Amino acid sequence: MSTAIWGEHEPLTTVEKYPLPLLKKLLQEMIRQFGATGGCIALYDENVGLMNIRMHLRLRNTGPTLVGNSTDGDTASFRRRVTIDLSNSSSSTSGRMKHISQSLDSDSIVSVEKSAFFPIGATYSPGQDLIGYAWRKNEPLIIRHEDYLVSLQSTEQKLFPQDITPAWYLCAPIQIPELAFDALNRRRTTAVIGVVLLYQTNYAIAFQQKHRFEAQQFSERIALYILNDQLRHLHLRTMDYMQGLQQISTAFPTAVKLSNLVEDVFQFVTNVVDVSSMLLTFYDRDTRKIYDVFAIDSGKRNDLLLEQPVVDTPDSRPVWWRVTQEEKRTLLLTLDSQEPENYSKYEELLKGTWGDQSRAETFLLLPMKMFTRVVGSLCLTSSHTDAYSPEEILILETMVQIITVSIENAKLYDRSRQSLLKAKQREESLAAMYSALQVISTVLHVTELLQKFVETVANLVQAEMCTFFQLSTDEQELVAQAIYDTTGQWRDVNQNTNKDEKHNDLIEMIRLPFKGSILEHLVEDETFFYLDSTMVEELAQASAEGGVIFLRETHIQKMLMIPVRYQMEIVGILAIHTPHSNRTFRPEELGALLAISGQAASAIRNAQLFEQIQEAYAELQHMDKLKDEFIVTASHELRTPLSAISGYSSLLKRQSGRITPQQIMRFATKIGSATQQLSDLVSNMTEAAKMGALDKKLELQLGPVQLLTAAEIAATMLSINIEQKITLHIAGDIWLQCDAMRLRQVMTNLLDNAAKYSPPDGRIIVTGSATTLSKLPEDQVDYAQIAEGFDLPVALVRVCDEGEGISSDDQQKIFEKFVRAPRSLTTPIRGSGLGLYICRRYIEAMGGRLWLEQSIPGEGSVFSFYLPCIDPPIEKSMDDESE
Amino acid sequence: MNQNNQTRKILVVDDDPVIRDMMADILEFEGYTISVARNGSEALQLLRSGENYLVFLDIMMPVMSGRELCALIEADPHLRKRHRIILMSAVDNLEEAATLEVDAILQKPFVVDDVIDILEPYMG
Repeated sequence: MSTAIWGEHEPLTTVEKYPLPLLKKLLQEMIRQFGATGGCIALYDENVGLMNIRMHLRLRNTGPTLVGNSTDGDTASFRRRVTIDLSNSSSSTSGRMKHISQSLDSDSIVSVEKSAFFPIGATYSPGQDLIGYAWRKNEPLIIRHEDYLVSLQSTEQKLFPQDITPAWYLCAPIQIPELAFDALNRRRTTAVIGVVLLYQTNYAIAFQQKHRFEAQQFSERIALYILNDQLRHLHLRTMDYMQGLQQISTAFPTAVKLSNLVEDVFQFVTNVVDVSSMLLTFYDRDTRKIYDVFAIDSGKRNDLLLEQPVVDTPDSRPVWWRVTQEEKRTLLLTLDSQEPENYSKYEELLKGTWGDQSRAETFLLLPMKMFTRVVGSLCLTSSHTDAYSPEEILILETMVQIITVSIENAKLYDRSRQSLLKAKQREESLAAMYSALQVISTVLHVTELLQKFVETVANLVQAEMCTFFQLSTDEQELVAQAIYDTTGQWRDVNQNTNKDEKHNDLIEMIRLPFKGSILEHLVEDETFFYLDSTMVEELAQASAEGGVIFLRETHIQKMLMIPVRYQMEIVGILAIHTPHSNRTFRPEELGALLAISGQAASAIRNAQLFEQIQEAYAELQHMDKLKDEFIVTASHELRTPLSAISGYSSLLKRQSGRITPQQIMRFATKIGSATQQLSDLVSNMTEAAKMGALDKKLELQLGPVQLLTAAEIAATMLSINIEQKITLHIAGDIWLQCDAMRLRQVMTNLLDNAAKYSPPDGRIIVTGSATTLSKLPEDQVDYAQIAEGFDLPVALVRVCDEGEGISSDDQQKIFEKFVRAPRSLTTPIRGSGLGLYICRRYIEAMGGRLWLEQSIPGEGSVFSFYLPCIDPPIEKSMDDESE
Repeated sequence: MNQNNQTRKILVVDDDPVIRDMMADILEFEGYTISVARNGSEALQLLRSGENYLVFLDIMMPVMSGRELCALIEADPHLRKRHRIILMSAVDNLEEAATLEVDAILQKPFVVDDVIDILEPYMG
C-alpha cells in the first residue's frame, strides 16, 4: 500500500480508474471493425458530472495535411471491414483480434494528442455536442457531417477549428448491460458510463443502420471490460484490506501496547481512506473516564498525547456519550454548507483534542464496539466531500471491531494473568506464613523464638526493621526483646542476640512507656495501629535514653504496631517499619501479620512457660543438691550439741556421788547452752523451710528494741562457744523498731559466722551508729523509702572480723539458701549454711538491708545492715505515765 | 602391763571447745590429765614429741582434718607404733571412718561409760 498524503487529497487518476491501454486496444479494434478514420471515448467523470474525453485515436496517415481530402487512397485499405459478431463467444475474440493484427498493423492507429477536434480532456454535459447528445438519448446514432454542423449551429455551439473534416459520425453510449447489473446486484447512479464516437472522412463509405446495433454491442463490450477492470481493482483493494485487517488482528496477541495500537490503527486507516484529521478515544468503565490517546489535526500529530492522554468525563462530553454509548452507531456527517445543522448539532465532536474540524467536509465516527459494550471511538475527517464510501466504512468498522476484540482480549488476559499472579502471591505468602509459624511454634527458647519472630515478620512484608516489645511484669513499660534490622544500624546488636546476655541487655535498654502513654489506649482499642512521627516524638519525650535512641534514630515516619495478645492479655507489641518510609500495609499483609502475631503470642507464652519450668527445674535440682549438702553438715552440727548434752548428763549421773554443786552448776550450764544451740539450729531450719519457694510473709512482732541490749545478749550467748573476743561499740540511745527475737538471731548469726572463719585470737568488732538513709552507700539504699522527701533515720550496724575473707565469686552466693563459703566443703566448718540467707530475709522484712560491705582475703570481712531508727521509748512511756 | 600403757598420755583433738572441755571434765573424774589440740596440725606437733599418746580424734576440723592426720600417721611407722588412735565419729561418717587405720571408733554422741570402756584397754 502506498503512503498516504495528509492534507490535500490527490484524487484517483484516470489511469487507475480506467485502464488506458485496454481502452486504446478496444478503440483501435472498433475503428478497424467499423472502417472509421478515427474515434474517441468519453467517460463519465463523477467529480464534475460531465463526460470527459479520455482517448482519441486516428489512422496514422490521416494527419492534418489530409484534412479536406476526402478521397484519400489509403483509406481504401480499411474498407475491408471485418464484421464481428459480438454474440460469438469471447473465446472467438482472440482469434478475431489475431486476424485483425494480421491484416492491420496496430501501429497504424495512433493517439491524437493535440487536436482541436474532440480533444482529450474536453468535457460535455448531457445534450452538448454529439457526445452529450448520445449520452442524453442513450442510444447509438449515425449522422452526416452537414447535419452535425447544423445541430451545432442550432444549439449555438461554438464550432471548433477542425484539423480534420469527417463526412460521417457514429456515436454510441457506453452502458452496462442489464445482465451485468443483476450479477452485481447493485445500482449505479448512471447507467451510461461513457460515449464512444467514430468518424469517417470518406463520404462514399457511409455508416449504415446495422452499424448502430453493432456499435451498441461493441460499447457494451467496452463497458464490460471497464467494469471487469474496476472489479479487478476492487478485488485487489479488498485483498489489501483483508491483509491489513489480518495484520491488525494479529498485532495484539496477548498484550496491547497503546503506542503500537494507535500506530497500527493510524497506518490502517490512512491506507484505506482519505484522512486529514483523526482522534482515537478510549472509555474506562471502571473509572468512568474518557481518554483521548491519539490525535492528528490536519496532518500534525500530537505526540504528547500518548504519554499524557487528555482525560475527560462522560458528563462533559454528552454528544460523544450519546452517540457512542447510547446509540452505539457509526456516524457519517457531511459538513458542507448545505447541511449546516450537522455542524451545530455535533459541534462537540468536531472540537477538542484534535483541534477545530469545522473546515472538514466529511466526518466519520466509529464506535469501538464488542457486543453491546463500547470501549471507545475512532473519529476521522476528510477535506473531501463524501470521502468515505460504504465499503470503506464497512472495512473501517471491521478494523475497529477487531481492535476492540483485541483490547478486550488483552484486558481479559491481563486480568486473568493478574488474578493468577495474585493467587500465586497469596499461595506464596501462605506458604511463607506456614513455614514461619512452623519455625515459631517449634522454638522453645524464648530469645531465639522472638528473634525468629521478628525476622520472619520483616521478611514476610519486606520491612527493614521489626522489633518486638514485651510488656514488663508491672505493666509499666514495653521492653525490647528482639530486633530485626536490615539497615545495619542495630545489626551489631541483632547478630549476637542469641543467648548472649550482654547484647540482650543492650536490647532491653530500649524501653517505651506503656502505662498512661498513648500506647496503652491504642492497644486497648485497636487490633493494629500506626504511629506517625508526631506520636513517636510524644513517646520519645516520655521515654528513657534507650527508648529515645530507638525512636529518634531509626527514622520512623510511620510504624505499624500490632498488639500481641494471648487470650485477651497483652503479651507485647510488634513494631514494624522501614526508616524514612511512609508505608501503609495492604489488607492481605495485615491479615498475615495479625495471624502470625496471634500464633506467635501463644508460642511466646509456651516458650516462656517452658523456660520458667526449666528454670524452676534447675532451681529445684540446685536446691536438691544444696539440701543434700545441708543435711550432711546439719547432722554434723546437731552432733556437737547432742554430744555435749549426752556427755555432760551421763557425767552428772555417773559422778553424782562425788560431784560438787559448782560442778553441777557448770555442767548444767553446758547442757543448757548446747540445748540452746540445738534449738537455734532447729529453728533456723524451720524458718528456712518457711521461707521456701512460696516466700511466705514472716510473722513479725515489732516493737522498740535497744540495739546495745540485743547485741550484748547475742555476744554473751556466743562467748561460751567461741574463743574470739567480741567487742561492742554501740551507743545506748539507739533504739530500733523491730522484732527483738529476729534481731538477736541476726546478730548471733553474724557473730557466729565471724567466729567460724576467724582464727582463735582474731578480734570481732561490732559497731552501731545512728545515721540517715541518704548517707548510706548508694547501692544499698531502698529509694522507695526516701521518695517522699523524708530522709529515714536508721541505725547502721557493722560486724567486722579478721577471718579468711570471702572470694569475690562467693560474695553474692553466700546470701543464698543453704550456701556457705565453699571452703567448708573440703575443710568442714560448722554451720547449717542457712545463716546469711535468713539474716537478709529478716532484716528486709523489718524494713532494712543487709550486705557484705567488704571482704579482703586474709584480712577479714565486714557485714553491715541497717534498720529504721526510733526515738528511745522509755521517755515517751514516762511521759505517758505522767499524764 | 605394758610399760607403754603406763606412760601413755591422753590427747583430745577437736575444733569445738565444747567437746574438748567435756572430754577434759569426763577424764579428770577418772584421774587422767589430758592434752588438747584444735586441729590435726596442732596434734601432729605433740605426737612428734617424746610422749606416747592415746588420741581422741575428731574427723571434721579446719587447717588439718582427722582424715589427713590419720594419713600422715599411717605413712610414718614410728608414729603409728607409738600412738593409739580413737576416732570420734558421727553415725553418718562411720563408713568413712572404717576405712581409716585407727585402733577404735567412738560413736557420737556418746555417754561417759562409752569413753571409759573404749579407753580402758589402752590405759590399763
